[in-house]
Amino acid sequence: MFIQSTQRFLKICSSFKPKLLFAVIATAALSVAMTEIGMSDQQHTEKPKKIVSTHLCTDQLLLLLSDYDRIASLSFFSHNPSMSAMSDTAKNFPVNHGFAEEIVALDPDLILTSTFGHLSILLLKKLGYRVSIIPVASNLSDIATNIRLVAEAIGEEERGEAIAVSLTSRIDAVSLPDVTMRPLLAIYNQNGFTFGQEALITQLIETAGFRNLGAELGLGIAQHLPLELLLVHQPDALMLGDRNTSAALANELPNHPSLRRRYTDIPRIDMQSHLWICGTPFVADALDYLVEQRIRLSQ
Amino acid sequence: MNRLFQLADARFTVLLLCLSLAVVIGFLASLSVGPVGIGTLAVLSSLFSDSSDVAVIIAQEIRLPRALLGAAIGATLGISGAAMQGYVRNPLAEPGLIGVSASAALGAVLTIYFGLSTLYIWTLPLGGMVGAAIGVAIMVVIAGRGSSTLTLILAGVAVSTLAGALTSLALNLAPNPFAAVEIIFWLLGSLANRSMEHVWLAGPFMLIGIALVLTVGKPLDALSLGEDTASTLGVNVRGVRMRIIVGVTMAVGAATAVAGAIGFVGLVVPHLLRPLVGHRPSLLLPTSALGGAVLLLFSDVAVRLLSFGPELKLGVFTALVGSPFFLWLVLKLRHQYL
Repeated sequence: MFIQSTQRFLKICSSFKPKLLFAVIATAALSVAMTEIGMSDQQHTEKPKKIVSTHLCTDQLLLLLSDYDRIASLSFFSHNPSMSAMSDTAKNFPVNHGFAEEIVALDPDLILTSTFGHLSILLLKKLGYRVSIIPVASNLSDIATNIRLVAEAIGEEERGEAIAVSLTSRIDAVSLPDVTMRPLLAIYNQNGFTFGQEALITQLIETAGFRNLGAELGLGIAQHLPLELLLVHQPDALMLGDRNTSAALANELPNHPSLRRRYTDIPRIDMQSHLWICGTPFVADALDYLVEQRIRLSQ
Repeated sequence: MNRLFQLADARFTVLLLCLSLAVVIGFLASLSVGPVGIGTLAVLSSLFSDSSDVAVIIAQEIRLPRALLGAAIGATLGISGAAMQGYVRNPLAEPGLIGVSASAALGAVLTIYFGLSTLYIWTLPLGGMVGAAIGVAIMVVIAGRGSSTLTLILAGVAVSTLAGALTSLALNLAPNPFAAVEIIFWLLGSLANRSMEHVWLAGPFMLIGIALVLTVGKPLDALSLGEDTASTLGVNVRGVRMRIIVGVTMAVGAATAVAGAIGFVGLVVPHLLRPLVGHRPSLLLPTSALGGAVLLLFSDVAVRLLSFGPELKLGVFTALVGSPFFLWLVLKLRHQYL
């Protein structure tokens, strides 16, 4: 275990230098090239042929909507199976880390990103690249809107429409057996973070017939939920975060002895986080799973 | 002369009693404060209950370990500061300032992030102690050669910065999406969400370390006259040094391994109490342990009272209290040393 970790550490260390060197050379070369040529405006009428996505959520929408040969690069999160529902497919594409230099080197026709973008997006816009900023989905209807936005940006309106319509009909088809009982669900992720108001997951939870403790306490997106409050409010079900494989203090909290002692028999909902982190059609799977758990609870 | 000492001893007893009382009050306050309002009496009765009521679980599994660790870690930092200041006869020696805490944090981080502590949990305090030992050794090597205050502090800053940077590097390179949050924990320290497991893990080492340091009180009195004089008085200088190194290493290493590096307690407490005990290290050691416990318990209560939303880190608060004091100390010492 220790040796493996050390090897990994050394590998990371040794891989740093050439990248850095390359980046320095690339910057120098590109800055010269750009001042000479001047970046011309892209023709928006043509379908972009080289598309780069720098955000986990646009990565997945792009993979769903575009022909693969038009995708030049995806964000480095896209390869992480606990974050991306399409990590297997994404592994066929090179990754970027959102650095302006990497993206300039790819010379894309279109850059897809989201509102949690880097400063580099401002820079890329200034350099004349075509950038589409897709807002973060905070409710279910945003997802269809975002699908259509991406589809329009890459010129695949028909595919987009088909996917958006099928998603909407799947969401509308959700039916609950008994709405009088609404069990209280608490999300408790690594480091004690929960999701409350204005989070997509809250609408998923409520659509599936649960109440979300984070939202009821008036907490926002990814806020700290004190352990004592979690114990006092006595949720009917716990949704703990994906167990992260890498060792970290963060994993200690969901294992705190007080939780084990109080909730030995409380139903735990193990939902894969990659289904709901982003507003993608996969939230329909998340919703189906939650409804299944809701029905199991009422039996 | 004899009467003078008797008077001093009487004052010392009163001081110890007052500080002990303050520790008890701080401990009760620590048990009573939290996001869920439970009265002090309810918490106390919950501590001895074996039901699985929410209040009982909160009292036994969340508040009690927090209060116990606050008292033990505060005592550790206070007595370590007093012993190190007494040994190197320099008012700036302190685990946080001269890099001992930061090195201990680095040791603990390495065991966690290379997966050792998940395999063998006892490697966590051990890692902290190995780190602390290196920090203490550097301090002793530098201070033991009769070097100036400036050398000691500059070396301390260098060790602290390097250990802090290596801690951050280890977290950055580990495949860990929570690096930012955890770098803050290790650099600033916190008692939030600790459990009884942490008490069992670190408590024994802190107690042994504190007990060991308490034994050097009398020799430190003699050492305040200089090493040569102390030797002629029959003090085994090397033995004293060894006991301080081992004691501080065990206590600070274990404390840091479960609560991160908490600064300034070890610096401030001995200075506040020194005038009250007539500058005698043998009296300063136990009073600093109690004083450290009081300061950390009340700081930890303040952190919880002042927090809205994300909790204020304990180390932020102790630094806020400690830094102005440190500045004042530097200004005062400027005339003596520089």
